[in-house]
Amino acid sequence: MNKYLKLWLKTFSMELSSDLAYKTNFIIRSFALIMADFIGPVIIILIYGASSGIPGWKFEEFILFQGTFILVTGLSHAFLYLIPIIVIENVRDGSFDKILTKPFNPLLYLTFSSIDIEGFAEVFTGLVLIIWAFLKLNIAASFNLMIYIIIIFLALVFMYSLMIIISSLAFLFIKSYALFELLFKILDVGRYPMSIYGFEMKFIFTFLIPVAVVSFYPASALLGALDIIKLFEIIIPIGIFMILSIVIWNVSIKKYTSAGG
Amino acid sequence: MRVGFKEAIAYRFHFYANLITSPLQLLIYYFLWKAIFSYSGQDIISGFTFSAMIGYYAINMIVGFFTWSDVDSWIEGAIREGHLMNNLLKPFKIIYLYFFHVLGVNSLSIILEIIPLFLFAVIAFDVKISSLFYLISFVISMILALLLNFLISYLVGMTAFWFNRINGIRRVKRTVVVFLSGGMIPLTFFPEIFQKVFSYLPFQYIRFIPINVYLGKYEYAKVFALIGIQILWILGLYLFAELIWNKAFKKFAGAGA
Repeated sequence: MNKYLKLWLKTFSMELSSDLAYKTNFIIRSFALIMADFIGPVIIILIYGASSGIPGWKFEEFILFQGTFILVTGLSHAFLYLIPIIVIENVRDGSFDKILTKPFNPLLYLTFSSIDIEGFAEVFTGLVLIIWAFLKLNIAASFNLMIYIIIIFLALVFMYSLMIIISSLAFLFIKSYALFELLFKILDVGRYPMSIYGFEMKFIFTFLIPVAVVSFYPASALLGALDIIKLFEIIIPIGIFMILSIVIWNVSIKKYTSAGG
Repeated sequence: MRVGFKEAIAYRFHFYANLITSPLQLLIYYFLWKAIFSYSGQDIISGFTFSAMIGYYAINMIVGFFTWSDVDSWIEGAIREGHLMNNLLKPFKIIYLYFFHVLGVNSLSIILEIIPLFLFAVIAFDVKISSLFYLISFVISMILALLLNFLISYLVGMTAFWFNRINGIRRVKRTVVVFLSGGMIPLTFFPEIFQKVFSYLPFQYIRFIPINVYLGKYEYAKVFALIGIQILWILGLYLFAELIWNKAFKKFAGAGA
């Protein structure tokens, strides 16, 4: 475990120094992320100003919902998004084999080499929104808060599985960022509560591609609208998704090494 | 334009991905606004009926695809990787060269993104064409919107002559343009004073105006006036781009590259 920790710290310091080399650009980039993340809440303000808003969600509750979405995508940005990018770049210039010869498990090596510091700007935005909503809604430390944190952890597991699947596809078929775009558009479903969607979409994004875990489930849990039995309804699809992603990864690696000789 | 078409092949996965995701995105907006309209019990929200709202988002995506332009990242790449010199040696002005690249990519977008999405919107969501006049004005307005968006993108790309990395600036620009052009929500949702400010900026002419022309929201005379303003913005930004280019070229050549 120790060698992975070392790798992770090394990645962190390398990322930091390369960001500091182009300091102005780094600051503008982070600012752009915060700005883009705040557009969601601004749209909510505009919608709630012109109408009664989204059924079942008070304004503050919906800010909490969006804050949770941004927090989860922000954490994923900081710690996971670079995994498929490293794969794409390395397969493209032929240095992926080098990763395979390193004394690490390739997947864990990629995982611990993936830190994107600008992602913390998004984490910050998410936290600001969540804390604001906490204060407005008088949410204190409670059992529900614990469930909230557990579901956010599950959401990160889900995002990790997605990244593994994209990486597998990336180095087998499509050396392209288009898969990323596909992913982000699918995640957009999670920007609004599952309750607004029709049955088919609700089914797909709760059980097949469990996007609901990214914002809908945690926010519902915190607001006390989720009973504990539901937790299994969340854990099972995510567990299946995680296992599936590892299987896909192993198959792809095998195929890659046998083709590359 | 042929080169641009080839360039488009490099974006082919991007197009395939959009074939799946653009109906999905439209569905998200459909369910979102359906929930809001039925919950509020209002027939009209900020000047839009439910079906006009769906039309707004469908046409918004089409205008978004049509006006797409990545020229800022092309310029940044060309300067950093040193291809810019090759482009300068070609017998066209660089601004035209890039514009024909964009046209090449976007002509593929018409086939792979715009037509499928339009058919989907018409069949699934009953998005209508108000009249031939509005359809023709819309197409003109959308072409002008492409020019406008291209020029803004080109101007932002030009900053790469002064800064090492401009992906931060590019991101800010993308967010500002999409948001202030009405690409996320109709601008009528903003307070009056903001709408007043937006009317003095070029951004709303990239999406909000063409979309509303399509939806038949303006009288004929107003349509002509708005198209006139679009043209004025294009001329103004074109002259400004030429000015900046002359400055940039001097800096580039002066560096003895």
